[in-house]
Amino acid sequence: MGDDLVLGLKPRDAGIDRTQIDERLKLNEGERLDYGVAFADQMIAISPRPKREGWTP
Amino acid sequence: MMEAIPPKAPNLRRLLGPLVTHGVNFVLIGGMAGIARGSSLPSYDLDVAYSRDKANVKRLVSALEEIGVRLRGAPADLPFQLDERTIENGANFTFITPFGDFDVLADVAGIRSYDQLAAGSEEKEIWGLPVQVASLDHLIAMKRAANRPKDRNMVEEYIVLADEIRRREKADSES
Repeated sequence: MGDDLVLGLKPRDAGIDRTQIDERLKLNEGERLDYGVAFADQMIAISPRPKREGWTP
Repeated sequence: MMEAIPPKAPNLRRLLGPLVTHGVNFVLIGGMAGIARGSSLPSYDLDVAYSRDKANVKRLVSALEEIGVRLRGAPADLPFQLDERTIENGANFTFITPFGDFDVLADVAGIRSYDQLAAGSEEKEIWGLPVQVASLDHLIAMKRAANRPKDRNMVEEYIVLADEIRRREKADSES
């Protein structure tokens, strides 16, 4: 019908921000975890979800 | 009703430190392991898998005593005896601690055995602590087995992350 069937590979696009991955991979494991914990604390602070019972740091 | 979240992210140094100093044979798993590997997705608790051998259970109990754990979600008046027998009679425990939410798991969905998990893990020095961190392939298998919406998001990111790390390793080996 005038069209060619083409099979091939292309990078998977799962909507993942590769720049975030690039930034994380510049850090060592401890730095990544420090960043991750700080980010989680920010997410908790702005989350509308109810907070569970407290624990005393 | 929305699922409740902890009031704060865990203090990882205060949770990992006693495990290391008591010589517990464990592997860092879950979202924090993903972050240690390079994930940017948040995690609100610390998950570790532990070896079930008797000596290790004894060391784990000592570490948990030092941390100060109690069962998460259980009524405050529910008695919980933290000892080797309790750990041996259970497998997976979800704790609340003075330093955040802490889950210790013997049976991990998606993984055949602790030995398999440990064999695929790598020792990383985290804040001066030697910590075995689960491989991305095993983290992907665990998240696929859990299969909640947040786990599916993590699988997608971990696949991209694993591809990127392999691409960099290949480029390094060729240069």
